[in-house]
Amino acid sequence: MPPAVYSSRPPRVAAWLLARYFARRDRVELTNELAELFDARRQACGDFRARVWYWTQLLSFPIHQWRERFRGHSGPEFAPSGPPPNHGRGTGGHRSAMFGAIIQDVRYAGRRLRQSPGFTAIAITIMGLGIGANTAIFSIVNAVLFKPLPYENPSELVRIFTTEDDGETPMVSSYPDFVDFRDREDLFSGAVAHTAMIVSLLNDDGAETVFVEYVSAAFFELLGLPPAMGRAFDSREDELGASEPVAIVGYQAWQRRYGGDPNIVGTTVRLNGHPITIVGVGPEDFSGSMLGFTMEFWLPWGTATLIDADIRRMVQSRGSHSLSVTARLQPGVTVAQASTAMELLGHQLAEKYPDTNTDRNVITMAASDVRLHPFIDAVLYPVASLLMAMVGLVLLVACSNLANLLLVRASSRSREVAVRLALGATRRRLVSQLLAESTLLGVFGGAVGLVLAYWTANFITSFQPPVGFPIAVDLTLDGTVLGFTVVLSIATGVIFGLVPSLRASRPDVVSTLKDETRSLGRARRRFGLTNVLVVSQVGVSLILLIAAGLFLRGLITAQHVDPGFETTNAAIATVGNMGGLGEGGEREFLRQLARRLEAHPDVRAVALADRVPLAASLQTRGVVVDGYELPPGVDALDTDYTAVTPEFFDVMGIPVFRGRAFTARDTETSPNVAIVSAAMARQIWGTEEVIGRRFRWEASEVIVEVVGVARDIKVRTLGEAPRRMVYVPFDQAGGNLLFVSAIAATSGDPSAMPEVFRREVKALNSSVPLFEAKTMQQHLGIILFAPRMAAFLLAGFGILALALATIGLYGVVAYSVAQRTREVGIRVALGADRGRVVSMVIREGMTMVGVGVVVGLVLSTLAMRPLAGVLHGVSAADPMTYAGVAIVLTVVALLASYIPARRASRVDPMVALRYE
Amino acid sequence: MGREALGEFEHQVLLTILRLGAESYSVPVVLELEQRTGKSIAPAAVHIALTRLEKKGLLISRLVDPSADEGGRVRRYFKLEPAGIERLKESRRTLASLSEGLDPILDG
Repeated sequence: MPPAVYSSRPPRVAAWLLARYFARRDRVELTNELAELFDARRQACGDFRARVWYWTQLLSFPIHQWRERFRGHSGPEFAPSGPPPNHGRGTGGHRSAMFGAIIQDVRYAGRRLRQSPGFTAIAITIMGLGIGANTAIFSIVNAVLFKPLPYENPSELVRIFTTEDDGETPMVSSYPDFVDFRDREDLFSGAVAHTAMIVSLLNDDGAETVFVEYVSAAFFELLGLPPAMGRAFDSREDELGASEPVAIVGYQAWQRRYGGDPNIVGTTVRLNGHPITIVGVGPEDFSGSMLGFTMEFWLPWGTATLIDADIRRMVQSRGSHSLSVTARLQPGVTVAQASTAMELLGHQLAEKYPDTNTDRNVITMAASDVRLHPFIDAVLYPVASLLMAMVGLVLLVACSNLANLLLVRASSRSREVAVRLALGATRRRLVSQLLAESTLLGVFGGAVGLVLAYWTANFITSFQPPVGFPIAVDLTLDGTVLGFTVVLSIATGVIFGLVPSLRASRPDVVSTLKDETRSLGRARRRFGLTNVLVVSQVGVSLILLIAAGLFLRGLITAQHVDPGFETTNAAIATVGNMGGLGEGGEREFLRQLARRLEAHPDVRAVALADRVPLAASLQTRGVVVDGYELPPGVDALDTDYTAVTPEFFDVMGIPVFRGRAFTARDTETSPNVAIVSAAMARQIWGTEEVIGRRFRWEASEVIVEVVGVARDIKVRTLGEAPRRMVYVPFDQAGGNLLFVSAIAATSGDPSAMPEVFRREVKALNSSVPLFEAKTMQQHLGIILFAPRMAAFLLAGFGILALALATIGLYGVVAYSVAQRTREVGIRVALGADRGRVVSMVIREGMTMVGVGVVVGLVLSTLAMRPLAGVLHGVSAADPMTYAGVAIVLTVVALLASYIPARRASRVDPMVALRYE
Repeated sequence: MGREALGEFEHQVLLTILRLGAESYSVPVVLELEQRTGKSIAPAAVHIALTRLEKKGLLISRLVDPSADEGGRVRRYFKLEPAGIERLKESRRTLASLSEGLDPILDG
């Protein structure tokens, strides 16, 4: 196999469209030449500009050919109906004639639009907002779900998962299992294991945590990603604990940390306290196999086991599942074949290693079917669909607005159209010209939308979940997004321009030319369609606003939920990987840190915990209680647990209302004890005495005695019912101390604490990285992040839709007033008072609004039903929200129709009558 | 048939092909023109000019079989016909005679 070089190809959509355009005879040759030029452009001015350039060729070729055809002629206003003289190469003549006509229509449409800049600006703004909102959301969805990763021949790649012991939930694999997978050389030409981890990076101003990916040495080769500089890993560097420690630095980290130093290869960095030689720089367009995370270094397993004691243990344990596995299929092997064979291997492993592998299945999936992890993907797709549906409604409002504007414009152009029909223009020709106009509006709107989308998408993704590390999605414009926008722009322009242009070109020459007063019947009919459009706009905006309102109410409720622990006078510091200190050193460091913090005048007490509630990082463990009946098929009660020091309950303000809290006497060597949540005590022991009861951890012989019952707190979400929760003494919890939090209770405002944490950690041991430092209020932001984002986005959509609908309503009422100037004039002349005129006009507008609101309310009750699951503290049919939104919308609509109504009332009867 | 004057762009394209050696296809022409003129050149314009020049009999083209080509790409190679070279000579003579004695102005 030749060495793999990833090269970017021209945008697929544009290439396809161009190929359709080129005459068959030139197709291959021209496509090749453009691809070559694209490559040259890419090298000269980068991927993005090359792509833009390629797209412009889509216009450039027709324009040049059209110009060539009409060289020497001054183009007539309208193309002759017969085929134009063919100066081409003799092939594709008809196609070119069509293109010529289309281009002429487009130029004519462009001139027409320039003649009415006001209308054009409004129409483009409306379409820009609608398309922009859609492109923004789509570009985020695309970046998260669709944008292909830059792997070579991605269709050959598969992901392999070991399941939970339910045999179906795909999770991660253990290192020994991975080795067995890799050995299947009949199926795979190679397999690599990789996992993301944080390590401490020591630099001039102390230590910090960085994301790294531990990978098999063959990682880059297997994925077809040549390093930008230096070399990839050598297979010997996989050997555990053997080789010299090496790393490949990520491209972004190389740029940001080392200023793109060309001599970086061969230098040394200190990771987890170990000096490590940089042997290469990662590929420019690859930030790691975990979407959203930017890896700063890649380390082979040999190095990983050297610098990370947990990894050393992990790679030897078949029961320790933490690796992702990616493999490349042998030529001729299908995903289905590999999947069957691997399932069989799973059974064999279960027989061979019953202790660790019983009931665990092996699942193989095409890599293209996995985005992050099947588990997370299952959540992402519905969220993405919901977002797209919501933002699609905004587009619907924008489009119906455009259609309305076009209808109005069409009727004001009826004379022009009639003249041209009378002079012999065909209806088809007129329709195609009017369509060109609406399509042009769509395309310009799309261009504006693209710019808006770029800003909006960046703005939206600048909201980082407060989790202590950056999440980056690659929002650079790619062919998929561009194609989406182009198709959306053209499709909306054509679809929503069709009815207005058919209507405008209706041959009704005689009456129009005689300038007869528009017959009442026709006026009503036209207004029929306009009214339907306004009603639908009002209805759709109402739906979006109600969704926003519900989320906003949910958010407000959530912010007032009492999580059951101290939320104001406390702050949290989380130290990251202390791997360099060793097991005993870690605990000693933590004890000293607690002591130093306690000495600070603002700090009342300090507790340590390996997990903090509401941190989205809680762990569960199976609890087995003798005599407690479990449902069939369940071996243990999955229970949240955390290891805490004795001060925890005091610092967090969680009362232990029966039994005792932990004391300094609960040590590694003393009997194992636990404090359980009230909900757990109630569920397992009912009203009986709880203190002194015992339970056993699943898959462990350790017996634990319950010594206290603590008040329930919110553990995972603010909306949850009280959960089973076990607290164990910090010193009795073995295992890894990857993250430990110090929680400080302060006597006053804790806002200065993050700085104190930073100072103290650094003073105590500058090689221990502080992962994050925050006040308890900031910590709660994590749990409120999702509802905040949902409320924020929906409010944005809702307000946008409302604004569009208001403009639409205003336009229709204003137009109707203008049409009825004479009627109003007569009314005023006959003595109607101005108040009556105002109310008449307003009534007309508000009738539409009323119908829209009723329709919207009815649809909302249906549309909001699926939201019931994600809303909490508020019903999906919350009457307050529905009523509030309906009132707001009605008031805004009232204003929108009041302005034209006032204008109507000021009509001077003399002027109005003279007008005819 | 009356001869049409050689357009400025056509002129440039002919000279570029000559400059690139006996034979060339459109990609080097585009790149060379861009480099020499410092302007962005539309491939479509070059494509059309080449076609037109071939029709005028100033160029001749042949399609190169992909299997014979190492890149495996279909390319159309153009080379100047004697008439093309004659035309370039002629227009150079014309230009030279027209600009004779104008050096002080044109060089300034």
